[in-house]
Amino acid sequence: MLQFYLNDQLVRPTLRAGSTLLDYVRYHQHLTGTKIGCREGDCGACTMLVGELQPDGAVRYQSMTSCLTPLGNAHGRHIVTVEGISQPAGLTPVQEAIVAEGGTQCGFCTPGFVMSLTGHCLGGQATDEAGRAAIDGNICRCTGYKSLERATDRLTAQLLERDAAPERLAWLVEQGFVPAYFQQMPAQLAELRAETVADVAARTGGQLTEPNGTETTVASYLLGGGTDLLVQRADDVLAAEVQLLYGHADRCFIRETPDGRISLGAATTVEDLRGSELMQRRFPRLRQHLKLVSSTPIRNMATVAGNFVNASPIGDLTIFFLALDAELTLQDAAGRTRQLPLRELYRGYKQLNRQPDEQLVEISFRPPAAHEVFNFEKVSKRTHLDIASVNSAARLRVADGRIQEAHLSGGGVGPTPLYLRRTSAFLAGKDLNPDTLRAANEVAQQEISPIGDARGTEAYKRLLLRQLLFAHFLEHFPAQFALQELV
Amino acid sequence: MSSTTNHVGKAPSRVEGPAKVTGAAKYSAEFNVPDLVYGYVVSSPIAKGKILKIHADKVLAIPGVLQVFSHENVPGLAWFDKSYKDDVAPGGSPFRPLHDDEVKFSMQPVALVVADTFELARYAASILDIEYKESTHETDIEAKRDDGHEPGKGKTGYKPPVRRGNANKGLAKAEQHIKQEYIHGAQHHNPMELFGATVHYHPNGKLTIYDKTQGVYNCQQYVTKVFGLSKEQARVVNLYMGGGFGAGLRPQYELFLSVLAALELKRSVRLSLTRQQMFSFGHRPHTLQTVEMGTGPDGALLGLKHSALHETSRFEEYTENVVNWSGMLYKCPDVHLNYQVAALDVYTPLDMRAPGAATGSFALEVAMDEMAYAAGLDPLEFRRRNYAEEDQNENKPFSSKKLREAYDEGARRFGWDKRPMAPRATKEGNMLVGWGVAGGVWDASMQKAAAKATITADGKLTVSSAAGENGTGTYTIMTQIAAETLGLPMEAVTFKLGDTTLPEAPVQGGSWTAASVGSAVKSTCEALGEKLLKLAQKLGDSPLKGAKFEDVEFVNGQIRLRQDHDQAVVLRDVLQTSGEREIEADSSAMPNPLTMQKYSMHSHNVVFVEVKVDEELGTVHVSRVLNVVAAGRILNQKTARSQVLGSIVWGISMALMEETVMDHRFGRYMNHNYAEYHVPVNADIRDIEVVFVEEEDPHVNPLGVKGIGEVGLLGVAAAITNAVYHATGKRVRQLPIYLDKLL
Ligand SMILES: Cc1cc2nc3c(=O)[nH]c(=O)nc-3n(C[C@H](O)[C@H](O)[C@H](O)COP(=O)(O)OP(=O)(O)OC[C@H]3O[C@@H](n4cnc5c(N)ncnc54)[C@H](O)[C@@H]3O)c2cc1C
Ligand code: FES
Ligand code: FES
Repeated sequence: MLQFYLNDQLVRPTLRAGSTLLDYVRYHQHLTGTKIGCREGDCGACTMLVGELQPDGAVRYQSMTSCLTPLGNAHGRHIVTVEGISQPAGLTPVQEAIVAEGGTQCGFCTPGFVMSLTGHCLGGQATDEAGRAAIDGNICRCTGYKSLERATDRLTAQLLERDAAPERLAWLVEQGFVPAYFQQMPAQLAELRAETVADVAARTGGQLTEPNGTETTVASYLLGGGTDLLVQRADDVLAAEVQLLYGHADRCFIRETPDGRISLGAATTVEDLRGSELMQRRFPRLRQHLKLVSSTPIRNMATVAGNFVNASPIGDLTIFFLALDAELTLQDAAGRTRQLPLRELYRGYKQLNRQPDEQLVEISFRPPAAHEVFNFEKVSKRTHLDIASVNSAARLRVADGRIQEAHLSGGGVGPTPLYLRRTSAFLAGKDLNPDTLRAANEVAQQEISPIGDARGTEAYKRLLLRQLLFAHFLEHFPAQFALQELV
Repeated sequence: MSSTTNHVGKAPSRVEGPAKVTGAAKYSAEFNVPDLVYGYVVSSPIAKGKILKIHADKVLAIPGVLQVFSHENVPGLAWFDKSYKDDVAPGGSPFRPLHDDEVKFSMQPVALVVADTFELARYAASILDIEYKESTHETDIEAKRDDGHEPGKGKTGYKPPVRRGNANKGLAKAEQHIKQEYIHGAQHHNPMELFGATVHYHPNGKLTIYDKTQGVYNCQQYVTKVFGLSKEQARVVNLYMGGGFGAGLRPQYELFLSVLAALELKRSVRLSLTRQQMFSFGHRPHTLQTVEMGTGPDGALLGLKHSALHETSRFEEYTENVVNWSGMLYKCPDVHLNYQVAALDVYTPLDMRAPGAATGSFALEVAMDEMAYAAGLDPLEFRRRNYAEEDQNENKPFSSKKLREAYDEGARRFGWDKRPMAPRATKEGNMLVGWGVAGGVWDASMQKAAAKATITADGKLTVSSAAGENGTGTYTIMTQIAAETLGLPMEAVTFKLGDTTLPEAPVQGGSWTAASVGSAVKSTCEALGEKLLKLAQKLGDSPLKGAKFEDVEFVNGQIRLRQDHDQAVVLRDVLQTSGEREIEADSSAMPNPLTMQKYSMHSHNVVFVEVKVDEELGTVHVSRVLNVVAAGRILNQKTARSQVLGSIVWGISMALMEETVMDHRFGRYMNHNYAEYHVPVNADIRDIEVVFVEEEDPHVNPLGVKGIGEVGLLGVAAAITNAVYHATGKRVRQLPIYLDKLL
């Protein structure tokens, strides 16, 4: 049975797992503090906090856009809306800071900002940058960004005190950031977990749909974070049977295998990937790279498998992992598995070498070795909440002024995410110098086939790919090159 | 003792702030009334044609679906166009939802599905089968360059462009001369809150209509005329509005549809539009403009021509003042302004923040920059040389104009004197750096407004007027004005708004709310003050005996003699000894026709911008914006600043991101969602600053305010464009400045 805590109440909605958390809260619980601005993950007005019990017994709260959160993904968790943190005694320090700095105007985006910042106070780092990053998925049309930024910065000093306190959550409660019931949540979720772990069906869908529903089940979906599926086909998913993968223990892991490779569970979220120490060790600039992927709440939801399977030609993670030559493990309904290189997953625009019942379970890749470098670049029109015009990744092995091996990928320059096979092959064995790069660009330009659209003309995209190709080398070999000599 | 109750001009936080940060503030689609049913609008996929058949049977067969409303079953309603005209309707014949089988624009509402739950209504709407017969549409203003016409009377506030002298002759005398075309595409207001309404159907058949609107009275008169209801039958309420920017000036179709459904079904109905549908009821029109100007040897403007052509719908003639500003912002003897519209198969455009001026001043101010370069003058110096001491359009002095002071203050703070004249002169790392300047002028208007004030024996004051709060700070500034007028702490005052049971206020637009409603609140509180003085004078040995109203002041909870502050009575004592439970007054304020005749009343601004352009990727970063505003008296530093900070972000957005792109093959906007209709995120906005110059204006209205919601947008996009030129040497004349244009 689907059950979770909504603020301080245990709820057991009888709705379908593919309906949205937002609609449940607003239309069925009549809690209207959470707003609706777009229903597509693009504005943050619907931001809620989702708390999940961690192995260490603490609850980790993350912001999510509830308009795209499948209700099923709330299962076993603590969902917090603005009503769940507001207290009769007075405003929370977050609310106080927003009012004092003039950070609310029409007020419609405000509860979303309040939730993002409350999430930041619960678990974020006590720096201005971390605070600002926490509101990267909230749009304010009025637009109080600078005032909200001041409100955010105001919190930093208080959070330093938090870090000095012996017990973080107790301190947060004492200071009024969250109500006292938050202190019960770890125990309550632990209790709930005992029930939910047994309730495997709930995690894998099936039984979550009403047994004698009047509508016929039209389809069955594998559902990760829902950030793609609920934008593209909310009505279908609502009526369908869904198999929930988000947060599934067997699908969420990041580990090193004995052969030195790294293996990821398919439902690993972008933010978990970004936060992984193992990943950060192997990709020193990982946090910067993945910061460019949409926004914090979306990264908290979006899974790696979802990114691969939605097959967008500009999927950021797809481009990232194409350059790493990742290997996928697919499993069909009968439990049979097979391996497939990510490069071979794409057949044509949004077409995959995958059977509809095949689930992506694991992703494995060889991380850059000590003598190798990796780089990821993305150009988009706005800093966050925007998919790329063009993106590109590169993994390079260079020794003694010579490129031993190169793997390049490019997105937004063809009908599918591209592994730039010919360009990569061309570079292997060549001397690292401007002539080589110029020639490699010539090859790349023949390998790509961008089309003009809202993200730029064909010519512009070709130009961007060239710049990004060069940028990989400029980033890692700044002593050898200056852009001026390349163009 | 000095005053602790002089709130006006200070920076108190919003009084409704707590309601907003806790989620307690209720917006229109959030009133939980009993027994609600939900509507979902079905929009036309075609831009022009006829609806042949609505196959509602399958949808109606779904349990829980209550009705499918369309032209096939909508009852006979008001017959004449005038019943559908709202207070701010342009000329023509307003669109009537579900009126007949004709489709006039893409995304036109063609049916309303009503069901027990929201999810069901949405699902049912998604499978409703409608047959259309498409006919050829025209949606491209570029194809109408030669088909424009001068509009007729236009809507309220529209002034046909005036001409003076002979621009051709003036231009013929010029030594330097420029002529260029400037273009921007359509833009949509896109407030955060989706348009929506909750109609509470009471057992006696009366309706309480919570609608997203900038004018509850405007909606009430629309609904009563269209549906033949009395005012008592249709109360319209809007306590909070999640942003308007003009989108809520006119009654939108969620109002018509939800009221229709409530009346027909005799049920309470809620209806909310989708983000996609937010692109279906009005926009800043796609506009083509040409500016030509010439200067004499000293840089004086000798002649100026400015013409504009923009789209309107087939059924209404939308007008805005695009070119008039060019006749008044700078001094010029010979001016020719020309303004035309052309009808297309689109919905009627709609006033959007600083309508007309945001458009016209973009063209004018980029042209001024081009002219300055042609004349070899610093762009700010060039503006100073052509400073307009009076309004030449109207041949009147300004009631006040501190633009020169704004130039000085801005130039000093920005460090303008260090700007090299030549483009491409400054580099920082691999970034080209450029500085630009531009500005604007906007009407300081006022409308008739009424208010009511009641003070109770415990000293609590309630003031009300059916104004709107769409983020501008109405609750707060009215509380400040009322509290100060009667010498009370702000906590003792409650301001109520947005309800047709309250005294009438104009629609919330044109930056006139502060002036109009503020003046009404002030005069109402003064009327109440006079009554209180009379009561005070009835007290035994009152120190105020014989004093006239002008002789006293209300300060710190007392009424005291201006000349002798020790001669005072405590307001609460007056109330308590008077024996009255409450005392009430009402009053109204309206513009003074005499001063209007004598003076031209306007606010002004000037914007300084720094951009950094990455030439390798074609990306533009607006690294610094300084907006200096001369807008009369500033009632609340905090809320006024927020308005201008917001305007700056709007300007950056207009310059670099915002455009609704039409796919002319289908006559449909392509990027009708937040993912593709880009507005900036926080990380896109760097250093932005607002300065208000002191501007006392004894004429404009009793409060000396000019309104602050729109003027701050002017000049921003032009200054960015000018800065991009200064950085790169590339002159962009079409907004937004997409990356490709710089490569
Ligand atoms: C506002 C917004 C911004 C975005 N910005 C970006 C961006 O900057 N960069 C970017 O790359 N993407 C972006 N996206 C797209 C999207 O978030 C990502 O592609 C995300 O990784 C999808 O993951 P998900 O788990 O949410 O997918 P879901 O919606 O759950 O699923 C997507 C598809 O994958 C299938 N699927 C999910 N898991 C599996 C599995 N284990 N095996 C097989 N099939 C599976 C689903 O059936 C579905 O077809 C954005 C989306 C939104 C809404
Ligand atoms: S409603 Fe906009 S992100 Fe959810
Ligand atoms: S306050 Fe209006 S959208 Fe942010």
